[in-house]
Amino acid sequence: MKNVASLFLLLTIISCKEEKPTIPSENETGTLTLSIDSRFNDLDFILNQVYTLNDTMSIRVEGLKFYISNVCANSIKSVGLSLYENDDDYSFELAPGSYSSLSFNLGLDSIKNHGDPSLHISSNPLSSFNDTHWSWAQGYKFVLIDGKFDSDGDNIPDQSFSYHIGNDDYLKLVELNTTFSVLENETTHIYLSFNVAKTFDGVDIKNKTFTHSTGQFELVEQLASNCQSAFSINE
Amino acid sequence: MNKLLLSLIVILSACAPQVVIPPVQENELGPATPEQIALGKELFHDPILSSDNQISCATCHESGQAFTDGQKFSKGVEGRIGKRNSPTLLNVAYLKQLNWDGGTNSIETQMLVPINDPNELNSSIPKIVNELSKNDHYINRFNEVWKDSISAYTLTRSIGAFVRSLRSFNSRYDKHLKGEYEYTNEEAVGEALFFTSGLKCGQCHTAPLFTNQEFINNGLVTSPADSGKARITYKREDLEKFKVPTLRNIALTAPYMHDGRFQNLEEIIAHYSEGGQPAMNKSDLIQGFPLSPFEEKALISFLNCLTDEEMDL
Repeated sequence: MKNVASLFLLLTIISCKEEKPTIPSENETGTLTLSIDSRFNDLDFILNQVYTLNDTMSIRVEGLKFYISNVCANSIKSVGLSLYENDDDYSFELAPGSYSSLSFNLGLDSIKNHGDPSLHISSNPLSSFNDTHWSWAQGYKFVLIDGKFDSDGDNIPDQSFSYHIGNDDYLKLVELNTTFSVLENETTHIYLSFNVAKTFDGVDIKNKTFTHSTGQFELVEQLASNCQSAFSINE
Repeated sequence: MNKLLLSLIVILSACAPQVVIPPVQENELGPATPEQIALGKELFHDPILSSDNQISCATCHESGQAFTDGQKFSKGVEGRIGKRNSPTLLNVAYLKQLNWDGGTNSIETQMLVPINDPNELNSSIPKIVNELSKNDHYINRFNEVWKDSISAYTLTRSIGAFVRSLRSFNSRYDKHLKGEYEYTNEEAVGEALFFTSGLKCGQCHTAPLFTNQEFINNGLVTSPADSGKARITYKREDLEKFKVPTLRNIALTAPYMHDGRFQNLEEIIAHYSEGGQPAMNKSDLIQGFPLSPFEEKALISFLNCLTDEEMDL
């Protein structure tokens, strides 16, 4: 993990207080860009690459997606939401100012979660084209982690696991202490790490290979909490 | 039940005020145009929506069977069998929650369920949009109707326009309310039993939709296990609860219940008359009741009055 500092997490879901208008006018916005770098502990994380988990098990993550929404600086809410699919810059409009904390939802609030995906064009993070929507429950998968693990000790990942976290109950707030400023019509970058290895903390992958959040709720909570605490600031 | 009491009930029931049809659950566009409905009808009947190009929406929702299919469980692509009975689409325009478990809240989001279900159409919106976008006929039709390209939005709004147009309020029951049809004595007794007697049918199957849109357990122990509404809410108190279905056109929609376990109306009446099975969340309304052979016949006569025989679909 790169230069982790000022990490502060809360395990409760708290919405941003709207101290100022939620959608600032065009002439008073700047851009906050979250540059997300996924890691596997100290290693760069690359999809479909084999890693060793806890020094014992070979694992290959073949799919990783998660929603970032309701990004707030201090208590000021930004505009926009993103679906992480690979290391990239994810941008949000934010009122200019000096801030000392950053928070965001890992997932979607209830209104967005239960909206109609066909209302969105294919490039929108909420569209049907992202394969992140459970039609039967009219809700989104907040986090998807799919892949294979080594089930027989030959260091070759051979058995599938699939963890899809959703439902309003498992929306998690990520809170990070960092100081930054957003200037009008300018872009401020904040560099975040997401430690994929941490998402498996305390998870008995061999015996709990699957949840799509319709059962095994202790596992769902464990995974959601792990993902919540997998973020840190890269200074 | 003594005859004097029944006569009184029939009179009281005849004096009941006419019921008002609730507002349609429109989407953000409001009422659809005839062109949108026509395009939706075409798509509804086109197997291009399924992964093997063999199954359409109409496969499980046939107009001649009040938009059901007469099967216990419907057959999807490659003969795969679904897990719940195919409900009627008539008057779904008025429903606030759809599917047996209430998992969706609009026609446009409901249709995503059969589209994605591996046991039904086994497809996806991106696949269908891609497929339709290679079809000159549909490219032209969407352009004519929407002045726009084929997209998740125009696709779901087209099919939604058709499904929302499927309305049925022209049964003998409706005509009786309008003074255009006089019940037989048997039908009148049946209606009285339905609405005003201790049978309590009308408490859940409330007019004019003949559903109160609630979710209850009506004395069914599911087998195979089906968590019902709890599949969506994860609440123990919702286990094995299902949406109260409309009884309009019930004579056309056998077999009955979420799992198609009852073949005819006699079996349903026997179930309620016996007080149902000891399910864990059984509604207090399901208590059982005595019913004479005449009363059973009368009740069925009334249920047959809920068939819209003049639907032109």
